[in-house]
Amino acid sequence: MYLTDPGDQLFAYKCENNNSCPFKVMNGKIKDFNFNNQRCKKTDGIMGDSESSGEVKSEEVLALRVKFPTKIPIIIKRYSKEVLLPELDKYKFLVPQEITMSQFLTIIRNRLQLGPNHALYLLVNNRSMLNLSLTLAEAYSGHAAPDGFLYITYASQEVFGSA
Amino acid sequence: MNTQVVSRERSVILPKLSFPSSSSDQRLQDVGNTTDVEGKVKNRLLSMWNNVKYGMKLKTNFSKESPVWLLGKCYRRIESPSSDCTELGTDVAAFQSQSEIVNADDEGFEGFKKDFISRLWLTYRREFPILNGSNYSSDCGWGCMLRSGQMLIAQALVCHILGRDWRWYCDQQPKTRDGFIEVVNHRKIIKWFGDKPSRNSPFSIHTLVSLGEASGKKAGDWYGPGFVAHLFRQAFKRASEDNYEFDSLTVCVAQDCAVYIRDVLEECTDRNGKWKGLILLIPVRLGADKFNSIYAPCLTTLFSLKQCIGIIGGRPKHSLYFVGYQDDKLIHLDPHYCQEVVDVWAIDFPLNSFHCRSPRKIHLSKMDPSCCIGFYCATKEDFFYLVEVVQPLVIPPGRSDSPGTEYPMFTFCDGYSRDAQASPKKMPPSELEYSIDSSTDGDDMGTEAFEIV
Repeated sequence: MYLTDPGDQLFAYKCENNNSCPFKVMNGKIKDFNFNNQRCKKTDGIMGDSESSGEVKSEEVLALRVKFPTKIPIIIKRYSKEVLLPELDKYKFLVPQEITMSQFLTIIRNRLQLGPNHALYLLVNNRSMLNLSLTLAEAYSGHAAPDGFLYITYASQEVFGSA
Repeated sequence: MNTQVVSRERSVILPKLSFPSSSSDQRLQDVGNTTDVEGKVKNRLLSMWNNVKYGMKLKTNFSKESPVWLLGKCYRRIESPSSDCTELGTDVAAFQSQSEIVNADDEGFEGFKKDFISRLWLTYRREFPILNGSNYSSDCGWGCMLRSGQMLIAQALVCHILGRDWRWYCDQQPKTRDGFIEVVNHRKIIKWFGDKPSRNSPFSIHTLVSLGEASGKKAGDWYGPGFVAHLFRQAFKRASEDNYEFDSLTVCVAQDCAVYIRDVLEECTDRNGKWKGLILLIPVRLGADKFNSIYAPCLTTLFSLKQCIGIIGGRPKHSLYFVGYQDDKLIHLDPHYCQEVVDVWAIDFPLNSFHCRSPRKIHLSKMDPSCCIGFYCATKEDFFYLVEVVQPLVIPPGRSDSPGTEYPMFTFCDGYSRDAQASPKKMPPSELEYSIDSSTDGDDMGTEAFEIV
């Protein structure tokens, strides 16, 4: 049912032959997902539910990758203690893998309707994600969670006062 | 660390007590908002506690073995004068000329003290003219980030006007003509920060608060480091309308941790093609909840660059101006000391309250992830040197399993920001949504829509 164009067909075919580790073929850069397991467990507090249903979501990601082989599945959420930035109306994205980080940042900026002087930081694994020329495919290969999603937290800067 | 605990305990117990004070009338006006009142009392007590803490002049210990870095200068206790420079253990040591380091060494730890005392210390003040549109005559309890920002900018002005090697000798009268000019300039810089709503003090808390009003901030609000950076950019623009001295200095604030080199060059070249002094401010966020320790070596290395004018940040909710480090601790100037306002327009106004004698340290791990890094580049060469040297330094050491995958703290990009922002214009096309066929029941993720970009 997914097979609409030749490219997809090829991809689906490959998937069947690599059941043991379906991610290997999605994108030459994704080599070993289990490698990142340990590190991803302690991310920015949005990983909690994904761990419990990790297996299920892997299938979901697999389905997505079959249907959209050139798009990266991203879950982006507001930092739990963020007060200045609004919530995104949608938080699950499929983004072309070739767009750069700065282009993605602009997309999020536009969706949040932020002015140019408004601080916006995208955090992955507690890191500020900003190597602007890096593509999302590269970010995905380095920092995707074991369930196959790239989890991003967005936040502005903290304010200081009191003592 | 102990002091912090104590202050918290006090703040829990004491707000319930009635507390006679000069501002009690003012507080009666907003009895309706009890939390507000409690907050004010709490702030008052905390600032009292801070004052006790500073009054005691708590000693900070400095290790004898490790070098101390203070805004691009290295100091170490002299045991063997011929100590090898490669021991410094800082990447940037290799970039700096050997002689520079050796010279600083000669001064030893006394040199550090002199240098530290010479930095301008701007703290909370009370009883200054009421801030426009409010009833605040003090910034105690809320203005710390503005004060930290003032200190950062003051350091840039000191470098620009007096030079990095300038030292303040509190008890000495100037004997030479140059010495006299230095004294005048020292006082002039402090005047620019005088707590008064005047165009003669373009970086006063009054000016900054009024500039912030355009972005919805008001007196009494808390400020973030990036926001303060933008306030100073505006304050400089306005200052250069009134005072020609600011024509030769400009502030650039990086957006999204990217410094666009052509933007900076455009901003820094005046009508005659001459280079203006550049104050480069880069707001960053180095973690979500906590400072991510992978950035620790990058952050400390910045203090060994001669262009570094410090970092404004702090520990959570408590702003500090970081000026250097030793081992894994940052050296800072703390604005949380409520001093009485000084009339900086009086002849020979006292300077003592603008300099701090007791350096403090804070462990890197306690640092809040939100901060703003400052550089001052006197010349175009300084700027290009910075661009060249800093890039490899701000990439955290890679993980052993996949080197080269870490993101830098910030980055320099060729070109203009307007071009970079224009490129993704074709990006968000049709707003498609779709649901995945999910055979797994009970998984709400399966039925939720994805946004396809």
